[in-house]
Amino acid sequence: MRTLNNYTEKLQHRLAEYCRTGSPNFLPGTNGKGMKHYRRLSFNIFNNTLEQAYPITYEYLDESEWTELVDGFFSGHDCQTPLLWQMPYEFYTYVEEHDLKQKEKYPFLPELLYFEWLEIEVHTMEDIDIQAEYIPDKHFEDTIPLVNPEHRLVQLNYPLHLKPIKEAIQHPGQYFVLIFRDPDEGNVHFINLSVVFVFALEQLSQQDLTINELTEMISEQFGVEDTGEIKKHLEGFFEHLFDQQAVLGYKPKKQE
Amino acid sequence: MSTKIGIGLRREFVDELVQQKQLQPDFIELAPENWMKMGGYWKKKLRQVTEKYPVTSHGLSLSLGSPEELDYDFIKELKKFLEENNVQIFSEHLSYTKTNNAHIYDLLPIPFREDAVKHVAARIREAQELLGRKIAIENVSYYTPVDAEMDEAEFLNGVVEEADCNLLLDVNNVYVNAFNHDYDAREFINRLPLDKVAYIHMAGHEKVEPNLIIDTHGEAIIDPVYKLFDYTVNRMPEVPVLLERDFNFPEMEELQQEMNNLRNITEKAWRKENANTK
Repeated sequence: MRTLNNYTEKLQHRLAEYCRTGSPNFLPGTNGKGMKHYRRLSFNIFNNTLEQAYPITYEYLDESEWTELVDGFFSGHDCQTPLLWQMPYEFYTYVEEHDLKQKEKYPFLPELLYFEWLEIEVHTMEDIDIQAEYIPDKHFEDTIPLVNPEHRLVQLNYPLHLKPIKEAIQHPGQYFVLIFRDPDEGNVHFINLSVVFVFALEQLSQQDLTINELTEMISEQFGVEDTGEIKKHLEGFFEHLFDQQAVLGYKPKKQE
Repeated sequence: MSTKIGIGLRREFVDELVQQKQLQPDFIELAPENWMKMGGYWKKKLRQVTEKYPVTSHGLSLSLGSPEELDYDFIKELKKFLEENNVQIFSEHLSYTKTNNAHIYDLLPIPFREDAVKHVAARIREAQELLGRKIAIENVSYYTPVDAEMDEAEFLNGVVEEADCNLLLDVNNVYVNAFNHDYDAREFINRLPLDKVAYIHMAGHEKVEPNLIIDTHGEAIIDPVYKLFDYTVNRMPEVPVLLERDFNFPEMEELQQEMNNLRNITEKAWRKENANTK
């Protein structure tokens, strides 16, 4: 049974609306000074959280551009997550999905936010248990590499993982990045990848494949006949990933 | 046994709590929303702390005062989190942080109105049932009333009685509200159902204008708030007491000193009480 009057509900909506927009909105029995503080405090929660989540974007934009962006989000987007630390993801999607003048001036803005969010996402993503038995060593000759499951494989249009933002935006292109969390310290690392290695990692994410099987697939996919060379590069690649803890070890090849 | 004095868990001093060099609380309090659905580094740190200390939990986003219905998916996750971390007391604010299907993450004041008492109490009862535990409801700082039909004490009493919940008494908030809205803090304390208090919060605040204090949790507790705390604990049974400090962190010794101050006050009050009951 509904117990709240429409009137009281309206009062609550209007107070929240005032906090979000700052638009004058007469509310009976309130004092203006207190109202202003609610507006300031609630905006600060958004602003501070987003500043911390997106330090590169915050530094890059002018103060007024940043504030306008945050203000537009606060007033125009209905945040759905009850977890404040996840709110910045909604900010990224808001920027991605809306026609904003800041995007005309800075076409790379959604990607920069996405890149900054990825670091948070990989750092905080829930732990993934590894069910399979594996050997934590790097013998990849004819074994199945076990990729650290706490990772994201993404394509970027700017080398944001390689250069400071001002330089990165001068080099648009196709960049592939493996972003992963090391299991010991929980730090996030970025590895730039060639398209061949992206292909190898994508195949491995779908099924267990030995280095030999991956070599055959790459040979076929990219029309490279020298399988010895491919295998050598693949082994080196996975050894490098193992050293970085992006690969945790290997699973022995299943016996036929 | 002495009263339990705890501190709110903040990332800035997680390692200090694990190492127990200068900070030695009896328990820690954590905000579930700051730790839920997190893995990796922070999950490890949380585990290290919760293995070392008893845990209480202070919710931020349940939004018990919202006009709309409860967020049932969130409550399910919250219940899981409270159980996984062996949380002994769960508290939430008597306020709303979400309305019109949008979170704003700030503690907005519920209008002190008769229908709101009934509405909020019903939501607290429902949340308690779903969580399988009583909630301690905190009196919040408010900077403006909104078309009130009653005063704060009457509103708080009404909700606690109708919801059959516990009270988390934030003594600093009483001080802040009494100052900002020009009423007598002690008289306010006298009107509360002190037998329902399960837990006390203490914190510092900031005077931003000559006649306005904001409850910031960013300063040390001031003497008048210690005095109000002393007044309060002499009128109620023993409960755990928590020091909140959210930013502008001092040296750890200073935080420990604040906890020691709280312990000294409670020991005087509650040792006397225990002696009288023997």
